[in-house]
Amino acid sequence: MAKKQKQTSVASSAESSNLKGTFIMVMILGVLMVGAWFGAYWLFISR
Amino acid sequence: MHLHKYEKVWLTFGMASLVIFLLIIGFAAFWKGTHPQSHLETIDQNNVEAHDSFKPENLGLTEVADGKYKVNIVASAFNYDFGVDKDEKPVKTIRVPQGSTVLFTITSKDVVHGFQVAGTNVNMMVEPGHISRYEAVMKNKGEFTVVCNEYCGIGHHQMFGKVEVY
Repeated sequence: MAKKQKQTSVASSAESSNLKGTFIMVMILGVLMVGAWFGAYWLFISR
Repeated sequence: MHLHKYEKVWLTFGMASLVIFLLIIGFAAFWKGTHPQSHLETIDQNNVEAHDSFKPENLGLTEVADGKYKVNIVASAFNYDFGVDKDEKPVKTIRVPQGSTVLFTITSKDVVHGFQVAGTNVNMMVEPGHISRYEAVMKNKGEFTVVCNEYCGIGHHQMFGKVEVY
């Protein structure tokens, strides 16, 4: 009975954990990497 | 396994970028023929003159067709041999018109050198025993310095030349 209770509380805390800030940081990093790649590609094309 | 909605989004983003970049590498290598510049031909570094491209009279700039040029160079510590002009003086500047296609062919007599025409896409490693080639369209006008970008010894910084696109 106690075990079952613990499982549901873990599941609910994962569900409710707020990852908005992490998500924004990951997306900023992603945009920087894609931007750097296209920057290098643009240099290659323009020279 | 439970994944948060945001985790699914960034995992998809990461994996999709990986697949896209691998596809681009495959496309560049197998369709466009992008390879290391020195992968095709080997040469005896102690007798580079035996190769047709590196005979003293064939060094430097040659027009092979309308708007197409080739430049043969022998790199050695600490000099780029672009051949000699009509006064028998060593050539230090290569002059080509804007928009021309130039094939640079270069080898080294001694150690590893670099051949970079700074400000253009021409950038090669020059290894003894190998012939490096790079063909480029000179799109932009200007004077571009040729530099050795592989440390080759005490006179490394004195190893330079010039490409002028007019």
